[in-house]
Amino acid sequence: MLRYTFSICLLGLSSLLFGQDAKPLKKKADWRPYDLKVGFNAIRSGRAWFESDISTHEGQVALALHRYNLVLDYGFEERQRGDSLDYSNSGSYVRFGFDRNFTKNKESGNVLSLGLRYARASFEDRMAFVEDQGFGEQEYILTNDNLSARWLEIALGLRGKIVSNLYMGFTMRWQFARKVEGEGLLKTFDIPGFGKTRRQNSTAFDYYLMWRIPFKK
Amino acid sequence: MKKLIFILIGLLVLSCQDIENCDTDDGLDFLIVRFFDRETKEPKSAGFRFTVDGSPYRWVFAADTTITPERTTTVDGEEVIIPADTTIESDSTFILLPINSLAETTTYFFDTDTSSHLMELSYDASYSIFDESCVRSLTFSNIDTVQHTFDSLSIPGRVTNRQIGTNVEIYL
Repeated sequence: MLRYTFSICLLGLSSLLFGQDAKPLKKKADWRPYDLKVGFNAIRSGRAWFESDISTHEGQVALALHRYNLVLDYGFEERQRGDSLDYSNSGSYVRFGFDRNFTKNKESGNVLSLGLRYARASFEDRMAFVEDQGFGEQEYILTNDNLSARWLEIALGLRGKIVSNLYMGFTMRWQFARKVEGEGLLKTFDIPGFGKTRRQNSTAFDYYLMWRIPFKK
Repeated sequence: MKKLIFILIGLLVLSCQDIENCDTDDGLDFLIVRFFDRETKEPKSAGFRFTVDGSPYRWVFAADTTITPERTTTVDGEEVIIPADTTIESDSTFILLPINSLAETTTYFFDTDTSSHLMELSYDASYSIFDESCVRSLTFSNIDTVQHTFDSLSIPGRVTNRQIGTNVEIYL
């Protein structure tokens, strides 16, 4: 019995040693940036081109390192809203954060990512209307001159190569933890980069055209 | 990859937002005042004229079912009363009062042939847009008494809202 026990132990030990040999060596992560993508939000620019009540553009810069992208968005927006009243809103916004790239071949420049953003907006809004509230007909002009807002976003993104170094793809956002500061008599209806304030959380869909600048190694 | 697909579907579901209906806006831009008998605490009919500080109108609160706003103006040195186009619904036990959204307080003056009363209220006004297809929404909150000359007055509803049936109770 002792002879069999010794043989079993020897077999187990040898299989452990064999397992160690088969385990591939873990490659050390290379955190040097390997490409930079610069682009713009085609949906926003398209709306500015085709719709008369909105003027907006947004640019995006994404720096790729290891399996992550550092992302910076900057945009501005001027907008008129309302059928029965005159509401206008204008300002700029910035988002920054990171994405985790889930594609296996990162050298291709393609991206399938999930990330987090912190966003801030500085803007002003104005609402004007004429009515009689029991104090005679008068013009009401309500303004907020120094508004700011901040929120967080979870972003799901996809970028694919079209031709040469031109990439395109979408980003879907779930925007939450919104906070607005600087409101007076008028509660703001719209935040540049966020959308309507009617809901505490919001969703957005953006489409980007981007040019890739690969770094030499 | 499967997790990402689930997240994508989740975000698509979240993006399906319902269309706003203007009728579901609960904001109210007037005050609901009800009158009660100070002895029995039962609803009481009241009839008087009242004016609101800052308003060109004077309202006739008759013991029927309507309130008629009138505006006074001067023509050739004489005061002329011009009735407004609209009347305010009432059943003589309650009244809907306008509130000056551009001021922090509004003072109301109630007059009968034998007595005069005033009521000054403070509040916070808030304009918003329920939906861009709707008219502006106006709500008053933190309604409180600054002064009054009625026998007794209470404020059970400190916010103007369609869900709140009474803002001010006046006991006569």
